[in-house]
Amino acid sequence: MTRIFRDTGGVFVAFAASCLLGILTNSLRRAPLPMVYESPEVRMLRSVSSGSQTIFREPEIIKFQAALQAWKDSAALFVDAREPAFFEEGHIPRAINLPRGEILRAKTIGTLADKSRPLIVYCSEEDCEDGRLVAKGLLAMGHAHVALYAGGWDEWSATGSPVEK
Amino acid sequence: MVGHWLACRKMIPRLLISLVFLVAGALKLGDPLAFADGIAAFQIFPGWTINPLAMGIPYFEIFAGAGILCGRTRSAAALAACGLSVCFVLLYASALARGLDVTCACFGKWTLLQASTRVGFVRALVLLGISVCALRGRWLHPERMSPERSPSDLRGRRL
Repeated sequence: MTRIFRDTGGVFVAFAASCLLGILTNSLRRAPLPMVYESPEVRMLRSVSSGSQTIFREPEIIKFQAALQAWKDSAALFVDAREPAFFEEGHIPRAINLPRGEILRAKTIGTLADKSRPLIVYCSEEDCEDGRLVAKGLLAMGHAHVALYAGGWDEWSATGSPVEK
Repeated sequence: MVGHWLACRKMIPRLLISLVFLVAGALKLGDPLAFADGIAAFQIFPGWTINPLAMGIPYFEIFAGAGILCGRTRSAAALAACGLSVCFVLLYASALARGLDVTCACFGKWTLLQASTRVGFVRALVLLGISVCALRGRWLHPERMSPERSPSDLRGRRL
């Protein structure tokens, strides 16, 4: 029985020592981890934003009718957040492709240079997380008017709206 | 000859568990961020615990893996390995119950050993089984494993 208590105590001491050693060696790293965890989404948004904020604006959600009207009036630039392979299979006419992994490329795209130009981001469907992420990323980069078309490509193509391949 | 075989048989789980924890700990040390993302994927731990755990657990695994190979620390290290394995099993079981698709970076960036939730659960169960084998001899039959007893004592007992 003494052995069990002694071993259990040893395990707790080793665990505490490991955490202390981990924190110590982390502080010596070139890029140390922060003490509080940040999700990949926050890290991505932080990397594209100019400030050091941790709370990011949410895009306005728009429905199909508003997206279609904006497209007809050429009132906004459509941004397709899907992967290039899906974009090439078909997309909303005049849309540009900007997957989440290439969000930093937005800084070099000429059509995105004007940050006051309204943007409408869409993805494949309502549950697609990439559209929301790209929209938040563009807001974090300083774009003033970014909306998210929640229905996305599935709804757009199902309604017989114009498509481009 | 039989005694030699028994000793070898007891060594196998110890060597296996030691190797697994040493490799896993060393690989995680190289990429603590991926491990932190792996811990967060289970959606159990509060944000302030994830990074300290991601920094500390790799060293704890290395302690456990190295300790199993040393005589004096063997039982405590085997207990630590059991504790870690139980935690892994519970984490994967809870992820399976909640329908989470967890790709744990349990071996850092070593993508060949990244596993889906189901595979991870089975792997954790196997790890627990081997850890229990490594611990069993130390706790259930401590008199046989005691370093104070000489080989001649053991031979005498068998005879």
